[in-house]
Amino acid sequence: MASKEKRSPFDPAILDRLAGLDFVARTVVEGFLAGGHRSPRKGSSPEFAQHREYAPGDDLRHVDWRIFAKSQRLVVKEYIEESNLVANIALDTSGSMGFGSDTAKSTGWTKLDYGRWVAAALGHLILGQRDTVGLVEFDTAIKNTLPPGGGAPQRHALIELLEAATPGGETAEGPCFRDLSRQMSGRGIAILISDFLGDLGPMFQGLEALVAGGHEPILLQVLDRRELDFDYEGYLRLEDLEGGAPLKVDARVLAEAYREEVEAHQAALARHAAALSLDLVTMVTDTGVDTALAAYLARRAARISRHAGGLS
Amino acid sequence: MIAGLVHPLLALGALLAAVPLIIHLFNRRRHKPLDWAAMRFAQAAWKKIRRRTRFENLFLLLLRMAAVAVLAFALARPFTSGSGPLGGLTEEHQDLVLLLDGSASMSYRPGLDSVWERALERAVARIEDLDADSGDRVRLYLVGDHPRLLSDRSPAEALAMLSTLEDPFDEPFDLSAALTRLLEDLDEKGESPNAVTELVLITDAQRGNFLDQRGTRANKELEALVERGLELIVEPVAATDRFTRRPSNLSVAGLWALDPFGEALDDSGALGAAPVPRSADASFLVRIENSGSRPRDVRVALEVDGERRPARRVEVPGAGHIEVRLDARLTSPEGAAESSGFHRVEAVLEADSLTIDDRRPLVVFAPESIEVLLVDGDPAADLVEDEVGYLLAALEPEGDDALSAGGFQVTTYTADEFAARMARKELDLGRFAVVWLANVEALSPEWISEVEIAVTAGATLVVSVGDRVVPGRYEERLGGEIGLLPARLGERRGTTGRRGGYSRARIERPDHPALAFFADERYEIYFTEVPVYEYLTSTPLEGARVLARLDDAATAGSPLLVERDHGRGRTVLWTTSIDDDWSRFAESPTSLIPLVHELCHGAVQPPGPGRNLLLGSAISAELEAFPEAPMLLRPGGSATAVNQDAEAQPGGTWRLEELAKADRVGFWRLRTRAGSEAAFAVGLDPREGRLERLELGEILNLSPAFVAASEEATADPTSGDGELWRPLIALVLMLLIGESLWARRLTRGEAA
Repeated sequence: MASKEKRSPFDPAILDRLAGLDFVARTVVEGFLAGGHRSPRKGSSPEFAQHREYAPGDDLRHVDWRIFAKSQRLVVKEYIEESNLVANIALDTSGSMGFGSDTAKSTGWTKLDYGRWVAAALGHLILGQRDTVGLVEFDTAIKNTLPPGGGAPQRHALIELLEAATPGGETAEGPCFRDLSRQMSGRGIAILISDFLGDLGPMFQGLEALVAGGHEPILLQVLDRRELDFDYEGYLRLEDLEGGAPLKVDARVLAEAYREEVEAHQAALARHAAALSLDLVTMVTDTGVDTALAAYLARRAARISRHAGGLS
Repeated sequence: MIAGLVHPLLALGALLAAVPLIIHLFNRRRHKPLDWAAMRFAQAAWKKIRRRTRFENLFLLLLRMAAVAVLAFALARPFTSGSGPLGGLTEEHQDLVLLLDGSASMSYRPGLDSVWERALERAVARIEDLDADSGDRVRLYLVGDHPRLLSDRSPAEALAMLSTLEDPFDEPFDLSAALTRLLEDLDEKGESPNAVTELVLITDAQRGNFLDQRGTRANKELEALVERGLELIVEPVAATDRFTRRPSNLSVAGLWALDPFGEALDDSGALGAAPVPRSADASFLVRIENSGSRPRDVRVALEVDGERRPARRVEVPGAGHIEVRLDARLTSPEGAAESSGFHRVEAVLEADSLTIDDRRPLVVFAPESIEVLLVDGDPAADLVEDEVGYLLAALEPEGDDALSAGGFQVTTYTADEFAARMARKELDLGRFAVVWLANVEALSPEWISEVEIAVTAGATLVVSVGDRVVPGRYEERLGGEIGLLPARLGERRGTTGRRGGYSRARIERPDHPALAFFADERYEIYFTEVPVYEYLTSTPLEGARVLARLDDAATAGSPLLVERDHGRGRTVLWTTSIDDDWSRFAESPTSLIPLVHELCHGAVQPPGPGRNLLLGSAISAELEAFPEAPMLLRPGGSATAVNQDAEAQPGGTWRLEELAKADRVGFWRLRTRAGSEAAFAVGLDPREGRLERLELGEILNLSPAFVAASEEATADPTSGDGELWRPLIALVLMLLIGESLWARRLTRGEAA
């Protein structure tokens, strides 16, 4: 369902809240701009990473002479090379994202409107840290692509593309994720914004391709409250937003069985995501974008800080 | 299993069971469209629950449809045999049909209570034995000469109706009419006869209720009851043992006015009140019956216009009757002078245990005078030679007996004088009850037309023939279109000399009032043995009545006395002479006097419709003056205003039609503002005074349809049909509760 109002994603109030958080990559990412993110290459960078045994050919300047003096062992220091973050935001614009109910926090918002907001907010953050971000829209295939970039021009292009996004068509996440993996030139983060209501098998094959490519998929699932509780009354004729055959149901009779199906799907989704160590965030449109994102980013930042302290 | 339905049409309400189905189908069409994204889950969920949901909804629908259908079936009130497989579900209930004898004899009061009061108590007791809560019903009929349905519903309603009954009817009991009505009602209401469990007749067991001269009454209806498997329980409420089956009761079974010759005048309502001589004591015959077995003395008296005359004591034999002649002068209300017109006469006995038959009313009519015009066609100085001499002597005999006071006022003219007076218009024929043309030769069309008018208005024209009558001229002037002759005159026949033989008369209509005296075999010879030497043959016209013929074989019984109606009057033809020229009737006072008196009395018709009516007939009145503000007074004194316009009648009278139905015995009176009053007498059926009763055993022997009250106790109380509506209503409640619980379960299961 297309959003009834086209809003600018740049809501100062929301973006201010997000400004105090760092969006920190959990893995070291290669990049061509220096910044606060770790590159997976360990080189002569000012930040010490770890010690190892001296091997013939190592640069004698990296030998830790204090340890040799103490223990007569020859070890060399390895250092972390910082590089900039490359993020790719993939936004599901299939027909199912056009669904919205009166439970949405913002009146008239569909899931696509909500996802649009999330994408804009994240893009803003990433660009604000002098990282690069790109955007793809997909349904059964990648439809529109904005290659990763930085700076004001990139921000402008990102907004334009998000504003023009309209829902329609069926969904095929798996092939899209595989294509995205090939498309991403270096290791980076793939922020996947979708309702993830499709078949999990092909979907996770695509996600595995992303992981195998060294990328970090983050699953941001956008759902409407009614898709979870099916709190309807009376006789309904369900019209498939992705063009399938309609279905006549008695809402009260169907509700319990429907909820069981949805809960089973969500559990399976979580299970598969956990198996791949992927972040899965379910955001319901009756919760504000700022609240949902802020909660996730805070948890993520805290987790990464704990992991980094364990290494030093 | 189901024997039938009390209200079969209500079972069609089961078709309403389709309503929940229609609502269900209607609701299924009303699906609200909703765009949906998570279709995969909806489809998977629907597939999982579809079969179960269909079953649950179908079960709910069936519960609702079953509740409606069972409710409709219960309202149709099915019943089944008490001995059938469903008999255990039925409640036993009774349907009581009560026939209550409301005839006049029920007012017999042998002691403190009357038979009627005992009957009411018995009926109340019967009804109070019913249990309305179990569905017991009662149909209550009150039976006189026809049955009246008083109540057809609950015992409470029947008891309420019984409490309003004060007295029985004045009518006799008609068992045939009662059973016919009962069978018709059973057919009409569509009930299976098997639903009726008791037919009860509460009666005084009067013999006349069950038997008539031909045998058992209502045989056909009793057989119909037997064919339908019904029994009529007879409950006598009057004692019928050998000491009381013939209760002592005296009744006035008949009251007639007598003519001067002692013959009872016809007092039936159809012919009007009996005319009696005005200026002498009128004579009445009273028949008194004794239904008891022992002879009884009683005082009987007449009341004339409410004034009692001296009584006479008589002895009435046991199980028999006597006829008593009583005389009374019909005086004015002040008692000063003889009064013409209508009089109320009532025969009265001393009151006994049944008072309704101790009086019998009669309305008689005493004309002002009977004016007779004699037109003498052959006058003579000597009355014996005169054509009307003997006739005049017969109409105005000397003496002081009733015959002398026959009430005739005779005017005699010769034929010429009559014609002259008529030509000068000095004579008003309208005041004469009888115009007698005695052997008149000249017939003038002018006065003939006046005669015709008078006859049409009610007078009687008597034509007696003789040697001056020319048949052709009579046929021309009086016959034909004028129609003043009841027969066509033919040739003169007879013997020329008294020694050559003669004809004798033969009475054809002994019941005719003109010949009523001669109908008595003691006096018949005074008519049949009188020689007739000469006569005119005649051929009666259509509508004529031949009252007497001659035994002349040659003419095959030529008419002697013929009459025919003409308008409101009549014409009479005497085909021999009224003097002694052609017959010896004139010479025989015992022959001539009764004949001419009865002919002339018969000319007097009391104005208007009958005054002596049968019970149940309509009361109509014809009055001399326009009735202003008429009131109808019933026997017993209650009065009602008559809201009807009187219709003018030819002759200047006014008629009121069908004022009321004569449903009580006694005198009914129509009174006007001017103070005039017209009385009507309604007499009791004499059968009601004959109180002989049948013993119960005798009644039971008359027909297998009759049973005694004690026999019902041997019937299997469970073999009667019982209704199933109560268990069906319980089933409906269970279905509705089940439907509610099931619907709630579905709702809660969905909400869980």
